[in-house]
Formats: sequence, structure tokens, C-alpha cells
Amino acid sequence: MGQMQQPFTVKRIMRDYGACYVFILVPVLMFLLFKLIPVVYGLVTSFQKYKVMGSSWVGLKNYGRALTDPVFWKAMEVTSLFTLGTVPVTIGIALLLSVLIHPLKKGWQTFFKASFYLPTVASGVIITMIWLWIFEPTTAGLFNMFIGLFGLENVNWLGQSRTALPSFIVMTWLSSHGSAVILYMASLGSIPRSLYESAEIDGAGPARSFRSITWPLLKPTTLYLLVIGVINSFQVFIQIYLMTMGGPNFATTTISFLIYQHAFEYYDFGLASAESFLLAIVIVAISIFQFKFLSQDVEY
Amino acid sequence: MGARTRILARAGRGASMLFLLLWVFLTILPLYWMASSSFRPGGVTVSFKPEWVVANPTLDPYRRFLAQPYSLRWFLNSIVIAGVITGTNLVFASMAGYAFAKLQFPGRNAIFWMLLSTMMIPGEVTLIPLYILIINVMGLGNTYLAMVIPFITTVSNIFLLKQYMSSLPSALMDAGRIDGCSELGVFFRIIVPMSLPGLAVMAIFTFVTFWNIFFWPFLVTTTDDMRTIQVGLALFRYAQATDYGAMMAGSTLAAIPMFLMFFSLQKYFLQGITIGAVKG
Amino acid sequence: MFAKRFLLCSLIAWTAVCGAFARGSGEPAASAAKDTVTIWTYPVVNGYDAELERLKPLLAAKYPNISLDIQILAWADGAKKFDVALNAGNPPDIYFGQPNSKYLDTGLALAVGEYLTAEEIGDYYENVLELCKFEGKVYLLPMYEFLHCFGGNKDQMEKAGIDYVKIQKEGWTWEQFKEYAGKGVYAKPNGDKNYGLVYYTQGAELEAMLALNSGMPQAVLPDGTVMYKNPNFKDVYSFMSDLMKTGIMPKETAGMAAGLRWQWFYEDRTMFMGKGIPYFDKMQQDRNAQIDAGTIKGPKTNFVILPIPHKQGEKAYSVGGAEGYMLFRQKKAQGIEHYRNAAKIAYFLTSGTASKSAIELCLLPVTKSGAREFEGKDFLSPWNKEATKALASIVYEKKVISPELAVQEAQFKNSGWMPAGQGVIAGELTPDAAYAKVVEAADRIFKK
Repeated sequence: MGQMQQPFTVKRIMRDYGACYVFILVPVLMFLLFKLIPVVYGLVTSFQKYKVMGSSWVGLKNYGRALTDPVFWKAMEVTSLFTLGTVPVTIGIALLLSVLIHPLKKGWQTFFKASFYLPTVASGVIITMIWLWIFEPTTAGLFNMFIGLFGLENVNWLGQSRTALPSFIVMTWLSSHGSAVILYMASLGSIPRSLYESAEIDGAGPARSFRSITWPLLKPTTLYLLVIGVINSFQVFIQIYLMTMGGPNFATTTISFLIYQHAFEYYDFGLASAESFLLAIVIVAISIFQFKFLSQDVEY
Repeated sequence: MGARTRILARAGRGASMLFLLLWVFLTILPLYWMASSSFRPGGVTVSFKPEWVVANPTLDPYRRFLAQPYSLRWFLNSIVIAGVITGTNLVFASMAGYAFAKLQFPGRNAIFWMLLSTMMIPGEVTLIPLYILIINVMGLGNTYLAMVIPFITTVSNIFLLKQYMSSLPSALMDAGRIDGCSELGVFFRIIVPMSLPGLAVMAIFTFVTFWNIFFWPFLVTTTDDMRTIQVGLALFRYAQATDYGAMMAGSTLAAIPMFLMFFSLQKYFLQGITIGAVKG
Repeated sequence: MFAKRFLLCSLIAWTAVCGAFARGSGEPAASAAKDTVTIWTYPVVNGYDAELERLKPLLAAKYPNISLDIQILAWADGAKKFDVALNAGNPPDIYFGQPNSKYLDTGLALAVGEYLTAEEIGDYYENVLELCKFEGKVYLLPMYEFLHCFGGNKDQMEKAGIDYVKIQKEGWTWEQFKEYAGKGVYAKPNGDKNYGLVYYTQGAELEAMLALNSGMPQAVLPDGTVMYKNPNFKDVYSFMSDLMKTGIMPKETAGMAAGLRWQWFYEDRTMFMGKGIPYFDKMQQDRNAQIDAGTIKGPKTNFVILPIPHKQGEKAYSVGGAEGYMLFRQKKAQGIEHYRNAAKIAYFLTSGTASKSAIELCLLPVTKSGAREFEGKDFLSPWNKEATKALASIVYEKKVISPELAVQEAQFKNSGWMPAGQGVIAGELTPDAAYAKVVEAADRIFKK
């Protein structure tokens, strides 16, 4: 790499790298103002008992309360199960669908892409209402109508601890692959045909070329989907709030829901902040792990 | 190829088509119900029961929705906000994504991880400080600016474009630099044209996200004429019952701009500009 | 070239951003003696926005120097918006809701009673005002007193030979309830099941109602005693479990959405329903009118308001409370005159002609001026008029607890008796196991 030893001054940095900093100037500025300041404020709040007219310092007490609360751990468990059950599956489904769509003619491609993505443009509240109907415990609910065809009895999908969380997971499978499909399709489109052609000449079958060409070149996209997927699934809230309120018996209490309860039902913002930062630490740890696993600068 | 491989290949294609169509059916059902419920007669009801085929379709729910004094203004507001945010992200998030993907500079990884880790903090925690900052300190209550400013660039978009651009061949950029282009020139002339699929994806994602966003605009707007479409739709819920018909009508109408955006951008999603420029 | 296109893009973006400095309408005119009062409220009743439009000129005539900045929030998330604004130090002057000690705890809630004249305060009925007090001071000016009880299907009851007039007058015990509700469990000719009781249980209101009527009127007393730890609470769960097991309550109760119980009542599929409020009477009448006019199809049903069943030997109570306007200050204090003005507005919006909203909700006016104005005008069906008054008179006045205790009480509900009750309804917990969970939660949360 042979770099010359030069004095490490600001002037030199600006001369050599000034242009780079211009590129990131606006985001970093916005970040400092609208993300960092609130986050620091939130961090400080996590060490306080927050009161709008004057908070008082309580040190690590909020963290202690969070970590010794059995409901907190139950929520972590629920959230982790939910994440494990949805993120890899959704990405897998999207990958499968994209790979199947990719070789099709342009018209079909557009049709499928539109069909998979467009349902996501309906807002979450509407979709939730529709799913409430699908899960309705009576014969009028769609799922029950369906299993009724097989002679099975009505199931109370959202009303039993056994089926509540799995119902949420299935709901997520059927509704969140849209954007992942679009992303994969865009990335697949950037892989030059020439690579596949030369592989075919070399005698590689479809499975082989997927493994050695497609998968590695899709790694950056997969990493993005994994990290964002984990972040989003740890923050699942609106569906829980509208559908089960965390029940029955905590079966669907996610960490995000718990934080909401502490913040807005009890006005215990200090505790909610502490829980949020604990959650953030977990997500960061998972992300670092994902980056190590999937991050390679792939160039050709 | 032998006859057997041909048959297998065709069977494989057929099976895959069947699977795809099945998945399409499952995915599209909720959207269908939303749209079909918007044509159902009957006003304020207590529960929501979509039908497969609507018995007496009527445009009445649409009339009820449009009877709201500001319903068209809501659309305008949503378009402005989603549009502005998409525009600023296109410009600035792409620049930042490129910088993190391809440029080397001191602090690059540290800054990127700092940005990324703030995404991992649940929004509840930053809600009140952000509100205090924008409404109290900056006095921007009930303005477009308040709804737009926290989202001028999102870390999610920067991350997305970083990933996308990292697989672009560096050889072209070096060629550009050798030819005497400035960094900005390299970016605008070489990187951007090659990134159109990624940029198009980011654009549609961003537009949809900020078209559907509810709570922040709800929080910072105080008058009916500044509401976005999602906030406006929430008004159809009354204490004991909801005007589902009008709500679905509004949602169906709200989905249309996004359909339009999708179809106009989607030609960019397909085969990216063939990297024939690398050879030879 | 592409650079041009992007320059154009960013130019457009920034122009739009500059244009985004546009503010919404509704900025009040600032002038020496004038004052602006901000009000955040909800669609309290169907058409409340029109009602407010009607009241505005009357207010302007009475108080020409006060202008109003009214915002009608959506029920969905409206409370969260208020919570954020309150905790950021920026609440509206007047807010519609129920008294809650967490508001008091922020230090921004004002005792609105102290900003009114004696005549204005005296206009309210004493018993309702009691529900609005903390530590002897009035913090909420009630618009109405809500009433939660049970409801019944008049025709089904008559067919089964159940004397609802008697029940309305004398109340009924849990055993009697089981007997009558049992008569509602049968299969209809078209194959649908008819039920004895359809209740939306996710909010744990059923447990609270039953506990209230079996000697445990509130979860926690001001001195810290946890009433729900009393072994009698196990009987509440046993009763609920019986209702599920005998088929009186449908087995889908656990996952039922709130609107669904209503739907079944409309479809004439249940003898009793809960919670029942007087307004359902009007909703039912409206629906019957629509059926007559041919715009909807369905069976006509008639709503009877009924008391909550009480445990043998215990006193009967109704669930009730006041809802109305509360007064808040912002972090930056604004002077007594301003708060007096806000209080005046709040008083106007809850008394006299504004009592129209209470009447439309089939509730009794809470002010003497309102009662005078709407004498004899109410929307209740004849068989509910007397009963509503009677049930309103046995509303339990909750003894006020300290804010710290209130937080613990909420935690006790959310992580104790609410999930336990959900477990009983779902058939996953026996009454004993559920009660054990309640005790465990109480011990964990209320450690002295």
C-alpha cells in the first residue's frame, strides 16, 4: 500500500479527503441535529425519573428494574421468537420468488413484481383490520372458513397463547416479502449475463451457478435485508396494539409494546428509555454478528 | 438437451409458475378486500366483514369520503411530504451511500456505525425530545417543514445504497479519475447512471414509507388542512363505530398514487445498464 | 447529462423545502385584551364537530374577547399525541378525557374548580363532582357521567319469560344470572348458536365489574391494601370459568374484537351482552329505523339496560365515571386571567345548551342548567328511562389513590389480573391457577 508518512493534521485530512466529507455532509449534519441530540436526551432520561417539570437522577435504578422484571424477559423471549420465525423465512421466501421470477419474460416480471409489492402500499392499519377478520374466531373468519372445509373446528387464533404468536408470524410471512422481492430483483438485474453465460459454457447447472454466482453477489442485499429485518421485527408494535394488546397472558407482548406501555400508560419514561437502550444493545450485537458473517466486498 | 431434460425443464417452469401464482393470490387478497369493501353500501358499522363479491356496489363510500372538507387537500399534503422526502433522499442519501461504499476516509467505519446504531433504538425514546426540539425550540408546529425535516436522509436509505453501490466495479471509477474527473464528477457521471435500479428502488420505498407514515404527522399537525391522508383516514373512527366504507374508499384512493409511482419507476428495476463498459 | 438532471432534482427539492415553510391556517390574532384558548377534544358523539360549530357563535357572543383554537383528535392515538405534548411541556389549555392521576403527577394539571365562580361550580350536581375530585379539589368539569352495565335483548328475554323490569328494579345475583343466561343457550333454526352472554373481554372489564359487585370495588385502596388479593377474587374467576364452560359465553370470547359482540347483538344471537351503555339503546333505535326504511337488512332487536349481576349477599354497583374537560398549564405559566378564561370555556362546553351531547349519548345532564334546558327530552326507550336513572345512582365512587399507587395499580392490572383473566377465558388457566397468578403479581408489585 506504500503510503508516505505525512503529518496527521486537519489541513492534510481536508486536502486529501475533503471531497469525501462533502458527500456525507448533509446526512451527518441532519443526524447530529435530529437523531443524536434526541438520542442523548433519551440516554440521559434513562438515568432519571422523568418529570416534565423537573426530572430527578436515579442512576442505574431503571436498568435494574428492567432487568429484574419477569415481564421484560418474557417480552424479550416473545420478540426473539418472533424475529427468528419471521426474518429468515421472509428473506428466504423473497429470494425464492425473485429467483423464480427473474428468468421470465418482461411482462410476467412486471406482473409479479407489482402483485408482490403493491399490497405493501396499503397502510398498516387497514391491513391489520383485514387480518383481524381473517383471524376471527368464529366461522366468519377466513382461516376458520378454510379449515372448516376440512371438517376442523373453529380455532381461536388470537385468543389462545398457543396460537397467538404463530398467527402473527404467519401474518408477517404473507405480508412483508414485497419490498424484499423488489430489492432482490433490482440486484439480480445488475448481475451481468456474461457471468451466467460463461458458467453455462463451463457446464454448471442452475444450482451450481446459483451457489457460486447469484448468492455471493446478492450478499450485500441479503445483509441489508437481514439487518433491517431484525431492526423492524424488534420494533413490531402497531399490529400488537390493534390486535391483541399483548395478550393473551403476555403471549404477544413484544419488547416494543412493553416500552410503549411503560412510556404512555405509566408515563415512566425513564424506565422506557432504559429498556430501549437495552434493546438497542441486543440489536447492535446481532448486527455486528451479521456483518461479520455476510460482509465481503464482492467485486468482479 | 435430451428429451427428458426438456420435459423436466418445462415441468420445473410450470411448477414455479404455479407456485408464484399461488403466492400472488395470497398476497393480493388483503388489497382486493380493501378495494372491494370500498364499494359496499351501508354506513357506519361496528365490525368489518369483507365480502368476496360485493352485493350492491355503490360509490356512496367515495362520496362520503370526499364530502370531508379537506380530503383532497390531504392528498396534496401527502404528495408534497412524500415527494420532498424522496427527492432529498435521492440526492443526499445516494451521495452518502456512495461515500461509505467506495471512498476511503478517516472515520468512515466509525461514522457509519454511529448512524446505523441509532436506527436500532426504538422510536418511543426519541419521540419526546424530537418533539421538544422541533415544536418548542424551533417553533415549527403545524408546518410541512416539521413533517419533513427529521427525514431528509434516512440511515436506512444510506445503508441500502451503500450495499447496492458496493458491488459496482471500481475499475470504472478509477478510469474516471484518471480521465481527470473530480470526485463529484465521478459520482454524477459514472456512479449514478449505473445505480439507477438501486435509486429507483430507494425512491419507491421511500415514497411509500412516507406516504403511509402516521404518527409523526399526526403529532405535529394541529389543523385539518395540514393533515396527511393517513391522519385524515383515522378520523373515520368514531367512539363506538367506524365508517369502514369511507375509510376503505379513502385508502383505495390513497393507494393509487403509489401504483402510479411504481409503474413509472419500475422500468428502472429491470436489467441494469449492462456493464458492457468494463470489457474492452 | 446526468449531472444536470441531478442538479435540477436538488434544486426542485430545495425549492420545495423552502416552500415547505408554509404554515397551516389557524393562527390566532394577537391583540391586547384578547385571549386564545386551545382545546383538544374528541368526536365525543356523532357529529360533535357540527355541535362545536353551533356552540362557537354562542361562545363568541358571551365572551367576545376569547377566541378558540379547537382541534378534534382521532380516538386512535389521540391520547398518545396528548401524552407527548404534555410531557414535552406543551399541552393544550383544555383537554377532553377522564381524570387520571398520571396527569396530576406531571404538575401541569390545574384544579379547574378553583378558576370558576361559586355559581358556576354550584351548577354541577354534587355526586358527579365527587367523581372529579382529587384531594378535595375539582380537576375535571364533567360533560357527562358514563354508565357501564350489562345489556339485554328485550325480545329474547320476554320470550324466555324473564321479567326484566324486576331485574332493573331489584338487581340479580350471579346464580340468577346463570339461570337466565342459560336459557339463552340454544341452536337457532338456521343452525347459528344463540348465546347467553357476549362480552368483549380483552380489556378485563368483566373482571372489574364482577369484583365491584362482590365486595371488592377497587383493586387497591388508598392505604395500599390490595383488595383483589382477597380470596373472593377466585370466585370471580370461577364464575367466568362457569360461563365459558356451560356455553353461556361463546368459546370465541378470548379473541373477539370489540365490534363483534355488537355484531352478534344486532344479529339477535345473544340474550345478554356487556358492557352495556345507555347509548346502545339509541344505536339500536337508529338501526331499527334503517331496517324499516329498507337500507339495511337484519332482525330488529331492542336493547334493555340491566344492572351488573351481584354476588349473593354483596352490594350492587354500577361502573361509572365522569368525562369532561380538564385544565392544563404549559411549562411556561400564562397568568391567572388566561386560566380563568379557559375554565369559563370549559364550563360553557359542559353545561346548559352544551348538555345536548350528553342527551344524545342517552346520559343524564350533569348540571342543573342542562337538566332545565333538556327537561323531558331524551332518547331512551320507555323501558330504559327509569332504569338508567336508577343505575346511575348506584355508581361506585372510587376512592382516590396516590399517583405512585396508581402506577402500581396499572402494572398490577397489566401483568396480574388482566392476563390471568384472559387465561381463564381462553380455558388455559383454572380459576385457582389464575388467582395464584394474581396473588403473585400483587406480592411482586406492591412490596412494601
